[in-house]
Amino acid sequence: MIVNKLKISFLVILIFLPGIAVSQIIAPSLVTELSKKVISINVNFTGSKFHIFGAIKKGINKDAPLDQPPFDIIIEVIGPSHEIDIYKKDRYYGIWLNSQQQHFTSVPSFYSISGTRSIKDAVTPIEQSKAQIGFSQLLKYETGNIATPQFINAILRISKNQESYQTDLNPITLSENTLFSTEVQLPINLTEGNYNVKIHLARFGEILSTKQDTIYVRKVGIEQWLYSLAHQNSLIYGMIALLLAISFGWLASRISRVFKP
Amino acid sequence: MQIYLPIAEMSVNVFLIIGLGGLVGILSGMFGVGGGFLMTPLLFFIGIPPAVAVATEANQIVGSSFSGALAHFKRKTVDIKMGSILVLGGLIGSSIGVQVFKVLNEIGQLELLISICYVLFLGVIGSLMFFESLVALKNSKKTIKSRKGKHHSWIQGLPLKMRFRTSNLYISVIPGFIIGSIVGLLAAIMGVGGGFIMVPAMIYILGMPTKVVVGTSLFQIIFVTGFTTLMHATQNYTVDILLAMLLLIGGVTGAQIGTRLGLKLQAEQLRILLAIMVLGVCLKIMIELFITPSELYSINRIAVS
Repeated sequence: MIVNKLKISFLVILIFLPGIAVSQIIAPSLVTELSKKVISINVNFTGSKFHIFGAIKKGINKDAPLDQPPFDIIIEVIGPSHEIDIYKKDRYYGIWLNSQQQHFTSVPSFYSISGTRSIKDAVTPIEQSKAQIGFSQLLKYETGNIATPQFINAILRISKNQESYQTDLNPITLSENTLFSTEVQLPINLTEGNYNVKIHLARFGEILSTKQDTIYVRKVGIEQWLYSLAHQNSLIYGMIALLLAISFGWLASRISRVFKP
Repeated sequence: MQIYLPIAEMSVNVFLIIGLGGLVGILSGMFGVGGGFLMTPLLFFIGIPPAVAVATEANQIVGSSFSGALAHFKRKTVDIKMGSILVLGGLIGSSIGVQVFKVLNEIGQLELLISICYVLFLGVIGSLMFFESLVALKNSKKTIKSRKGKHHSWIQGLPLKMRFRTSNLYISVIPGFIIGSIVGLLAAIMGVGGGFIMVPAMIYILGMPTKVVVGTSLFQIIFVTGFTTLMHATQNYTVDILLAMLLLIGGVTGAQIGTRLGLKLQAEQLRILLAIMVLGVCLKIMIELFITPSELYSINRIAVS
């Protein structure tokens, strides 16, 4: 009897205080790890790759369908953004020259997206725009300026050609509906900065949980030293460049004198 | 072996860059030209951003022209007084050039200007050289009258005359100053030393004796490209030291080989070869202006947002 009463009161609480009730159910979540936290650009840098590992922690409420597999995983890697001008060439008197121009205040220097399925199948368009998933969602232009689709498509196309926009990657496999991993290949023309890794857990087109992590891309050693000198003490940098060039020239004339027949 | 260039922000093959430097060095040693007009377009072709290519090439030219000028100083074939006038003009031309460069880069027309400059100058100079050497080859049996520099009458009429002992001239400083500034302007925009324009101008317009022309032009080039390097470094941050060093290693070695090769070839044959090369580069750049590009759009990164 007492047990029954308790059951009834529990139900009452469930019905009238959903807030409390929800806290009893643990939503599914993600546990993730990156193989690297820092990528160093040194003298012999020729591109880099890293791995993303993760596991799905299933929800506690076994009755709710949302907590059950099959899940979808979507992984985005977003590089630091640039302010850009994009030009379109037109022909004038036979010569091709930049004529139309559009300004974007923010365009990611790198963007890759991979998933257990294609993003179209895994997440509904409404959820996509809510969570800002997709390269074109991240493009920002000045208010008042309306970016034409041709220009946006050109940005996507050029980025794809430079391997800084990656979409057609191998699908992620989800073993035992729990474990997943993927490899991200970063291009050679990498921009320094923080790369945001977003891992989304989805089911039935809805995003259940998102985990974020950051990977730091830094110039190191002589690359870092030269780059910061060139930007912060540009006059000294210029002087060093001149001095080195002149010493080379002097050395060359010395050597030529030694070898002169 | 790959090396990452800190300013160009790209990875390049060390041997490719040294090789290119060496190749252009051989040619410049053979023909006695600076080679900037070949090196800068080659850097464009391998994907170095034009702004970095132009600024870095200016830095390389400082080194190669310094090495050449040392030899001329020894032989006392440098007219320092005329050289200084040319430098003065050059510095002003170069400062204007760097500003023009900056503005055009901002409005997306830099590459067009560089291309047009190359097509015009290489086209005119290449054709002149080609036909002159053709004529010379035909008449090679006859002794050619050595051309003596003629002073144009209008130049004689200009004020601010000065005596230039080494060149044995008494002329106005104005034409020298103007020639210097045009060369400075081109050096900043095209990433060249400008010897290919200055040398004929010194002979035909100023009437300087041929033996001091090359040394004096090298003297001017050191200072003007040096100044250009500093301007690009401080205003556009586009000088890549690592790239310049690799080019110098190749260039300096190549120049030594080229000088020896040049001694074995006939002067007129050399000139015709050089003319063909100059016209080839000109044609390549010109074709790119006219054919429909495979990608009509281009992106210019302004800043990290």
